[in-house]
Amino acid sequence: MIKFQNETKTNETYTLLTNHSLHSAALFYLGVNDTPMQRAGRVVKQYFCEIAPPEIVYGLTDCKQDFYNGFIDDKGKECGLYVNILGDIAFDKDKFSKLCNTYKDNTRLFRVMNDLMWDAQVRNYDQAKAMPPRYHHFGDHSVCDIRKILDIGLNGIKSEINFKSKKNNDPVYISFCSGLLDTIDGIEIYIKRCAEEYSQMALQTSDPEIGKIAAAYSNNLVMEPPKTFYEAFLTVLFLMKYMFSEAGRIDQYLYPYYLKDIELGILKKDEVFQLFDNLFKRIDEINRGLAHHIVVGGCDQLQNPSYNEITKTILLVSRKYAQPNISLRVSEKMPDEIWNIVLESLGSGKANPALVYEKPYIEELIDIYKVDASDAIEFGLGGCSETLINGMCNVDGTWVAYNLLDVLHESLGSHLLECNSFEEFYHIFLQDMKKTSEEMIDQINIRQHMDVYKSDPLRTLSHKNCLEEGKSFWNGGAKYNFDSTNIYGATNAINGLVVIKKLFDGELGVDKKSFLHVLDANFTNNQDLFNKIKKAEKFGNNDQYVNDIAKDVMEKLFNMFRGVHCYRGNGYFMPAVIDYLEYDRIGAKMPATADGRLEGAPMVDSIGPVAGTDENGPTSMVNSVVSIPMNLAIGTCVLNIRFDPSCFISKENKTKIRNFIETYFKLGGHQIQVNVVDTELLLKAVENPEEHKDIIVRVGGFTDYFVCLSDQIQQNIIHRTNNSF
Amino acid sequence: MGNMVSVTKGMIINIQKFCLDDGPGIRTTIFMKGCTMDCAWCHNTESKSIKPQLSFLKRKCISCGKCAAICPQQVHSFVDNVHGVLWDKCIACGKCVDVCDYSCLDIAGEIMDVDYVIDIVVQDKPFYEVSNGGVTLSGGEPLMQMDFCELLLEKSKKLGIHTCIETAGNVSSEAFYQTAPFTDLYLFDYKLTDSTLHRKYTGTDNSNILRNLELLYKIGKKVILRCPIIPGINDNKEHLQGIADIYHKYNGDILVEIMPYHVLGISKLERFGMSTEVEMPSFNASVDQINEWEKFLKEQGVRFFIEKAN
Repeated sequence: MIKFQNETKTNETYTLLTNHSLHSAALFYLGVNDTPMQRAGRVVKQYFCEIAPPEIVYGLTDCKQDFYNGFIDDKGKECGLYVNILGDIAFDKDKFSKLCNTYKDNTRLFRVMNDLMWDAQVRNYDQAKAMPPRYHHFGDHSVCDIRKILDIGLNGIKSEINFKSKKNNDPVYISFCSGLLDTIDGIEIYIKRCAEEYSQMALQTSDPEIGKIAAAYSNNLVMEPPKTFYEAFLTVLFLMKYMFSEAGRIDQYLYPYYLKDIELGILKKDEVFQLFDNLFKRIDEINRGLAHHIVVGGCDQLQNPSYNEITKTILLVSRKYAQPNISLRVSEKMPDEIWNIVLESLGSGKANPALVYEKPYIEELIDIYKVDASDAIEFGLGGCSETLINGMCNVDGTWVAYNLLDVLHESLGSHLLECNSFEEFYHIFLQDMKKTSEEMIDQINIRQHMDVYKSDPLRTLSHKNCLEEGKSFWNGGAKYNFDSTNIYGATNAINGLVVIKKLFDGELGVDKKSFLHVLDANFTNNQDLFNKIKKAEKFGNNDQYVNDIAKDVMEKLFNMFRGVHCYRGNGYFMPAVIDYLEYDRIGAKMPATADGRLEGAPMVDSIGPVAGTDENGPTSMVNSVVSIPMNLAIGTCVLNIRFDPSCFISKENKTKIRNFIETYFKLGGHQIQVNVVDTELLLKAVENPEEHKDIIVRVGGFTDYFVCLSDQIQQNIIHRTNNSF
Repeated sequence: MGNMVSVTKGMIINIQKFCLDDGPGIRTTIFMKGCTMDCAWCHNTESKSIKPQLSFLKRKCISCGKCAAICPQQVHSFVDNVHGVLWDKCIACGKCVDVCDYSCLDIAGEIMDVDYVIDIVVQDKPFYEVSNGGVTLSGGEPLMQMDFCELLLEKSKKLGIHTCIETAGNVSSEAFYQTAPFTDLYLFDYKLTDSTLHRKYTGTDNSNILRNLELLYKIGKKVILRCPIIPGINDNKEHLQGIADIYHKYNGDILVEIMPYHVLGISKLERFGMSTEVEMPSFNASVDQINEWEKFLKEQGVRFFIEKAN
């Protein structure tokens, strides 16, 4: 164990835990008067003193994160108490009770152990448990300040902390800084050890790849600014692994290193291709069913379009893999060359990249979310498309489920019979929407309060403003804090409202009571009504009445979250329609609904129409979608669209598809993800998954292999309208 | 023509948005009913007659019998659960379409008011603007309803929408004089060079068609020559040379577009209770064939509006 200044103090809990070989917990409970950051920093330092260097996978240091397994190898797992690399307590009451019971009842030490158990139990906060299922809220995304660490290295950050700490007399701040300094010390020790071990490995194996890695680590990688493209690349991998970071705008911040090395003649284009290929192969492997987001292109700080050789390389490499999830920021002046690569990728059935129109994001971030203009330009997307600001943002809420369809269904059950007109019902539904959205906001804020238990020194030291604020990443330290408030079942609810209007207008041939009965019976007792509902106007066909309802409901709903402050860092709720894979999982729990959706069926997969209900072609679909004021929901409104491969057969047609996408953006869309796969091929893949492992499809805001998805989602994708011409 | 269609009312099969193959940009195509020709390879079977017609998609039918129950003409019959249709008796009243829950019945052909059509066309204006697209009148032979076309085109132009007519050219010269002021581009079909064969496969010779092409050129209209190429019928050197000759006759001002044969039309016949006497190929034109045709024309110095080969 490393020595800490106050380790020699008499500290009963520390001694007790050490005696039981609970080292990480011992370090955490050593000096409980210290700030949680200082206590966590000790654990993280010890962690870096003990763990092995990152494995070498595909010739690179591994970027796989050890979120849940990042802990010191002590008796912690066995005895049910340890502190992990995030500074979080992991606690197992059953196991720890056994340890407690080795002490005699009512002895002083028994009480000390009992208090410890109590403390650990409170601090062992499980996000998932903190949310009722109706507003389930889990997950987070972040991209650390990669640019800064490349610029000044962790040594630079260490100097900053020392400087600020010395200038400040506040003992709380000094203790906070001490936790961060311990963490950096740990990394420094770790980098040195990695250098030694990689050098030995290089000698033993004579593998030139390992030799290169050893050389880079011997240059005090991560601690000092990288000197070459290769060193910068390895630094990013380290940050991805240990700062739990996604790669962010990697084509932007790596480009200066690329240019310099190409000019010096020490780097070749195909080497860069190979590096990205190896990295993406690994990301693809470790992110099955998950999403690692890389955002490329877009404008630079001078607002000039910034697309470069790395952008192109990434777009080309991404054709081979489902992950990482690539989003291309489309600026007004995106070069034709980039468009051509994109159209070629999409036309040949590759699902990457998604296209993101940057203008509405930047404008809304500045206007409503009070993001500095220069920071807004650095916006990116995490995971499935949650909007964040690279290097300075905590965005949570990956799986928030505000289920609009469920709210409508409950309104129907509780209030339909008492209503005499559609208007009356609609009014009650809007009131229910307000009540439930406010409850969700409360619930999310409760979770954000509880997040204060998380110290997370690694993300704290690597995100802008945490140091200045003296607050952890989870306690509002980052410069910007968003909650991506994800709305599910939106289009189902809109279609449902159209049906309910018809019910009141007497067009369905049943009364209100029988309507509810038919829903209860999953439509099995009235095929005629089911057919009528199926034939009712559906969102996605540019029907004016449906569009008007969509606009009204969604505008009101978005405004219930948009720009509303959340607890963490006085940040903001930011509405989104992303829907990940949860549109299936949540749908599986739902009964039959007014829009004609059968019991257990998936809900809508994006801001677009329910799969297969748009029958008037893609322009009508888009005209419907843009009736929803998506500019109010830049947490990202994902739009899935499927084209038949025939739409991409000629150069001219590809240009027309480009024009189609440009028009969508001009009309108010801000994200579109294109799938080009013919139905026959998908059907074959369902039959023979082994032979079609390579088909990549877009799901809610991310990409995955078709054959890896659930049966329901596979069917859902097959039923998406296949647009041809 | 009957008294149904008029200046403000057209007989229309279908209005299709997001058309990528009917002229420049993203277009809305108005498929108008009725044709002056009877091409063996026609892929819009329902466009031949100007009258509304019942269509029946057999594979979707579950033989529920609702259509037979409501039909005033006893068109639908069910023997051993097989749905039979007496096409000749049908008056296209559409009652069966309303009761069909499985969307296997439909009426092709509907009288539409010009303003109704314009309302639909204008919905996609933002797409036309970005892609340099617009509206295309197709068919059938849209110029059979030249008064309606003229009004629809005039209204489109007033709204700043690019206009296109796809015509087989076998109409009176009047039709061109009337529509020319409001038409930005003619997609002019050129089917067969040999006049006798032309009569055999389309029911009429090509002299009137060539006269009208000449007329459009003379009055300075922009024209694209659209050439359906059907393996075994007109994929020969003589016809391809004929295309090249026309291209050169008009000094290369008229660009060419090959329209490769598609079997869709043959499969559609059954839906309308129709059949064809001429045996047609049962496969789509292959990429290699298309390449060969375009290569030949290129060697003759022909330039294309859109190359179909990749």
